[in-house]
Amino acid sequence: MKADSMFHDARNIPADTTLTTDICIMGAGVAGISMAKEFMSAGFKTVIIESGGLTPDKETQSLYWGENIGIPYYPLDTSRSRFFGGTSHFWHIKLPEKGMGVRLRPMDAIDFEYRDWVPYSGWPYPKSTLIPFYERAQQVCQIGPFNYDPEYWSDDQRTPLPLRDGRTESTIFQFAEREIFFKQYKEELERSPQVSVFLHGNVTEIETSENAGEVTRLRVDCLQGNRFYVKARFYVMAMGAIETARLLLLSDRVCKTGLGNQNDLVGRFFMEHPHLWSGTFVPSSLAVSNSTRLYQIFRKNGLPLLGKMTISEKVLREERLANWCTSIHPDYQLSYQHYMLRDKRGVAAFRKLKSKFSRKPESGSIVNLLGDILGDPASITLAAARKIKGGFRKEFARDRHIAVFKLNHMAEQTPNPDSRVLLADERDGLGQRRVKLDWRLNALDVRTITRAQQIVDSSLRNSGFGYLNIETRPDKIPETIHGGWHHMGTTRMSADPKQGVVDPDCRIHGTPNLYIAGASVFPTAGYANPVLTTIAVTLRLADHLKQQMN
Amino acid sequence: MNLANTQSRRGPASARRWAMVIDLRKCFGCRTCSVACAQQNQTPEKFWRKVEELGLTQDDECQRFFLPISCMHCENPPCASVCPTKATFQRPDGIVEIDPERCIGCGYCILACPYRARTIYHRHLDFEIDDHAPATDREGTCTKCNFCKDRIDAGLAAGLQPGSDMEATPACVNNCSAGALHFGDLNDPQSNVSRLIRECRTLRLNPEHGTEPSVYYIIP
Repeated sequence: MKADSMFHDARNIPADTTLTTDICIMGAGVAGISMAKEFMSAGFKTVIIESGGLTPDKETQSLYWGENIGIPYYPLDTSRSRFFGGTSHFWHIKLPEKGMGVRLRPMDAIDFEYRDWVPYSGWPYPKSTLIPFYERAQQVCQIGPFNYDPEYWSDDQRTPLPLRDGRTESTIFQFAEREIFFKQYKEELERSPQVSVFLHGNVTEIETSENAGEVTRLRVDCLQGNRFYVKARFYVMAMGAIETARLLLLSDRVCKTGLGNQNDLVGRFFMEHPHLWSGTFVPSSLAVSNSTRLYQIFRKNGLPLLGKMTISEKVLREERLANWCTSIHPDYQLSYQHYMLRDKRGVAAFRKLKSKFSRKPESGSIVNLLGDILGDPASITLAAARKIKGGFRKEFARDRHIAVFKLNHMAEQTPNPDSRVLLADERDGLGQRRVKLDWRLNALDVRTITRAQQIVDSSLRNSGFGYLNIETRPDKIPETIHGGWHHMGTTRMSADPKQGVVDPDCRIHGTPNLYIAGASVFPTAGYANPVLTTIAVTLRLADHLKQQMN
Repeated sequence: MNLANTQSRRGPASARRWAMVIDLRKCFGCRTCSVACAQQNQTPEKFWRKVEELGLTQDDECQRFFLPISCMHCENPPCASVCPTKATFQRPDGIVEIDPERCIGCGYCILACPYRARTIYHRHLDFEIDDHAPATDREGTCTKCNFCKDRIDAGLAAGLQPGSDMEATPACVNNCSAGALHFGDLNDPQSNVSRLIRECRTLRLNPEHGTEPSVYYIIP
């Protein structure tokens, strides 16, 4: 740390000291840093308490460890980074030419609505309320204009597939560079006289007045033993959806079920974006195959962009589906198999018949196979010619052969009170109870993934653009389903204290000087990566706090 | 005899010997180094550089360790001694390199490498990033980490210091936001790697093979 830096080592603070400030932010991840930046020149003092240092260490990272008791999920100590910059250290999608980053887009308008087919759905305000904050979030992320219309980003090289039935649409993601938060904004915070960052300090309890009507101070423990306190006018939890819920549940001195948990909502409604590699898109022609460049990561005016396929809002309503999108990725082996016509009836039968003479014969009666072969001589002849010609492996290039694309789904998980974060009996290095994560999906989440593919398949066929091979079933959770490190929903927002942990201003119901910044407040999550919405909600909270301070 | 031939291609002793120090206390398994490597060298991810998970410590603390693995640029590289065409050779600065013109893709070196750091390159593996297709002279040949030698060489030519100046430093090191990766000159006692090796507990993998790797791991 620089000598004149506003970054401090909490381990050097004398035991039982009480730091006093106007605003205390718990956590220096994307939400915490975004909020602190807002207060750099706001005229009042802000303190950030960050559990980790500027680089990771094993002891601190292990505080995240917990048990997964639901759908198999990433080890919890590997799904977040517990040091300055937080989860932005995991942003490493390769960008064209250079750099790494993270996908960004706002949620759709329908994601904010109450949908009668999605229990517990609906934000307390519409998307339009967040638009000005989304626009500011774009600036925080240093990305392009707040425009996600695929036509806006189209050019001669890249256009949305013109699907005729309007049921399948294209959707655009922008990308932010990964180093903004932990490098550039770190330097800005270091120079800010208004913001002090205390590293290696773990908030272990939120202490309140006797009726929990007000937070009185935070208890901060360092792994090396010293304990101190922070007293502020306003407190903001920005620790991620698992740790925020955990700390509220742990702060049970007054509310025996946990702070803000009088209605048994804290930790419930944990949401991810179910991710899945499954199925393929087989274009009908070389022209269609070459018309998919919008759906590969590209740069326009220097900004990295990516197109995906999604379902129109009208169809989501008609079919009563959750939101969904898929990216498409060219795959060499699948493209080669398609080139060699192995998906054609005759060639497939010929290969099966051939296998009858091998050690591992494939299924199928020989009579039927012969029937298929005789019924499809054209594909066999063409495949034989291509086999003799050879050279595919050397000459293959996407602009000369049809590329077959793998699908990478990213779906909405709808709110589910049984999908939740719980406290475990086991304790961490600070003596705090660890967490258990019970990640669950419901029938709508699972059905959406298959039905959405059927709709896209129909759109492609109706337009003469090809088809999808669908491998999922509408009634079975795919075995390879996984998350995207998107933790959301555990302290959901609602105007009604019985339906939400925080109010529309992200203030904990019943505790007016305690707020939450982060994706834990999302009542629903759409399919968009949560970062942009997280920052937008955080900026809205920052404005609210500025008003409160004034 | 193979070893003798290998050494004969090393040329005169270099004033520098490049080494990498990996701080296992800091690596938290984000795998950014692997992505950076793939991007820099236009290979599929986990091709030249991968991060193995070693699991949790067997105590209440549940500390998880990771092991980034790539070519160790051994002082005594067994891959070079088995290469029938002498495609694998060691530069004077210690970097173990492969001449794609000589490599016939026989795979002996892959079997000889105790660190499983080598892979035969097939272009189709790279299809997903075909807009940035790699040089075709790699097709069917063995490839591996080369410490981003092009960056080092260009950086030195420009008067930069590998390990200190980002432009002259391997991509994995530059992109490690955990500060776990360090690169520098082992022959310079003032370099960051020399200092870390001197001041921290380090180990090198599989010392029983006598390979003398140039990659050191800082352990708790």
